[in-house]
Amino acid sequence: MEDNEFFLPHEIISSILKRLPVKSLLRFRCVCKDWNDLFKTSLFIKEHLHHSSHHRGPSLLLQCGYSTFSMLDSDKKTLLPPSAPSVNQPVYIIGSSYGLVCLQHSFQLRVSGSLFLWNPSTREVQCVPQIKNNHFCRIAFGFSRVVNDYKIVKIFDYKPAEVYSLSTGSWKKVEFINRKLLKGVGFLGSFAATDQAIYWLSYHNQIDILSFDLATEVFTFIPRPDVQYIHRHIRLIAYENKLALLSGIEFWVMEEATSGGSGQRWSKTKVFGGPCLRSLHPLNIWRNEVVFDFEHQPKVGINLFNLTSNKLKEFLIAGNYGIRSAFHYVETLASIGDRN
Amino acid sequence: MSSSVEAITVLSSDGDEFKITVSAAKLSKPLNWMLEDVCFSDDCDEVPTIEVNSKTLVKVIEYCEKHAPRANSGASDSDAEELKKWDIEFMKMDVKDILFHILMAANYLHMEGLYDLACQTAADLMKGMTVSQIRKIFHIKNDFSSEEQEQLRRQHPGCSFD
Repeated sequence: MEDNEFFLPHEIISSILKRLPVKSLLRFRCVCKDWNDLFKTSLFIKEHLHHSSHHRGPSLLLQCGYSTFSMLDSDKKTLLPPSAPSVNQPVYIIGSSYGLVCLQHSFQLRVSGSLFLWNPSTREVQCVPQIKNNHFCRIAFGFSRVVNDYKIVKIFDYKPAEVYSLSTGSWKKVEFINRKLLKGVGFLGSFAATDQAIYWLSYHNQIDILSFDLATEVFTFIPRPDVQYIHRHIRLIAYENKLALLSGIEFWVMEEATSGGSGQRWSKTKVFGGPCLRSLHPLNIWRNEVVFDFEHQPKVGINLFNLTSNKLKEFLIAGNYGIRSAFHYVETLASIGDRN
Repeated sequence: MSSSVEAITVLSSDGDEFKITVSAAKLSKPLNWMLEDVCFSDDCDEVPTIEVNSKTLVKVIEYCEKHAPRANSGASDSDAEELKKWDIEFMKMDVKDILFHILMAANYLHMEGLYDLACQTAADLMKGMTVSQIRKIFHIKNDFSSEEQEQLRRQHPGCSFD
C-alpha cells in the first residue's frame, strides 16, 4: 500500500481520538468539519468518558478556600490550579462526577444558594435554574451511567426531595416513604456517589445509610458496616465505583452480593495506620492512596498514604487555605449548555 | 491440526513467506481459527495469505512472539514491567510509515493488546502536533469555509486552524 493512498478507516481514527485529553480534542476540532462534529456526538463523548475514567484514571480535585481549587494530576507528579470557573461569586464544590463539577454559592452551608455546573476541561460553566427558598437542605450530585444523565438532589426536612436532571433541564419532586427519617440525613460528613446511586450517612437514633438510585429515583435505607469506633470524621466515599466508608483508620467497602444472593455485603478492607495517622483526617481514597489534609501554618497541603507500601507522601499547596475536600475528577467533553 | 506442528508458514500481501510459532499465532483470533482449520494439517501444502504487507507483518510477528509466553501462561509483576518497557521501545516508529499500518493489521487480526498499544502511541504522538501536522498525517483537507472558521474563532477565542 502506497502512503499517498493510505487512509485510516473512521472507526480507527475515532478509537485513537478517544484516548486524547480534552485539551487536545478542543484544539483538533479545527482540523475538519467531520472531527468538529464527531466531538459533539453523544456516542463519542460517552466512549471518551469511558476511556478517561477507566483507563487514564481520575485526577484529584481539591477545594482549598472558597473559589480556590487545585488539581493533582493522575500521574501524581504535578499539582496544578485548574482553570477557575468564571463565576462572579465565591463558590465551593458540592460534588464531582464523571467530568462535571457541581458548585454552590453560599456562606451558609445548609441553605441552598445559586448552583452551577462546571466542566473544568472545556471551561464551560452554567447556572442551574432553581426556585430559591430558605429551607434547610442537603445537596448532592451524581452521574448515572444507566440513563446517561447528571442529577442534583436536594433533601429537605419534612418536604419531598427535589431532583434536577441535566438532560431535561428541570427539577421534579421525589417523595420519600417516611419524611421523618429524612431529618437526620447528611448531618455526618458529606455524600458519596457511584455511577448508580448517591449515599448519605443518616443519624436517626442510630447511624444508617440512605441511598438514592440515580436511574430509578428511589430512596432506600441500607445497613451500615459494623464499625468498631465511630470517628467524628466518619465519611462515605466512592472507591473503585463502590460505596466505601472511612471511620478514622477503618476502611470498609460494600460489595454487591454475588449472583443468587440478595442485597449487599460490607467487608472491612483495611485498618491503616501507625500512630501518626490517627490525628489526621482522611478526606478520600484515591488510586490506592488515602488522602489526608494537613495544616501546619504556614504550610498547608495534603498527605497521601499508600495502602500497599504504607508510605506517606506530602504535597504542599500554595496559599493560606487548608484543604476542605478532595474529589475524584475525570475529563469529559460533555456540554452543560446545549444537551438535546 | 497435527500436534507435531510448532510453527506455521503464512504469506504476506507482498507474497513473502513468514514463519510464526503456534503459541504466538494464538494471539490473533483469525490466525487461531486458521490453526484449527484444515490448512495446517499434515496433508495440506497450501500456504494461507495474511492481508498485511511484509514490513508490517515482520513487526506484528515480533510483537506476537514477545507477548506469547505471557499471554499463554501468565507472568509475574516483574515480567509485566519488563514487557511494558519493551512495548515502549517497540512502538518507537514513524507514524505514517508504519504505525498506522500496524493499527490496521491489529484491527484486521483482532489483536486487542497491540491495537490498544498502537492507538495510545498514536494519541500520545498527536498531543504535541499542530492542527496542520494532524491534517498532513491523516490526509485531511481543511474543509471549513472562511465564514465557518470565523464563527468557530468567535465561539472559541484562541483556536487555531494552522
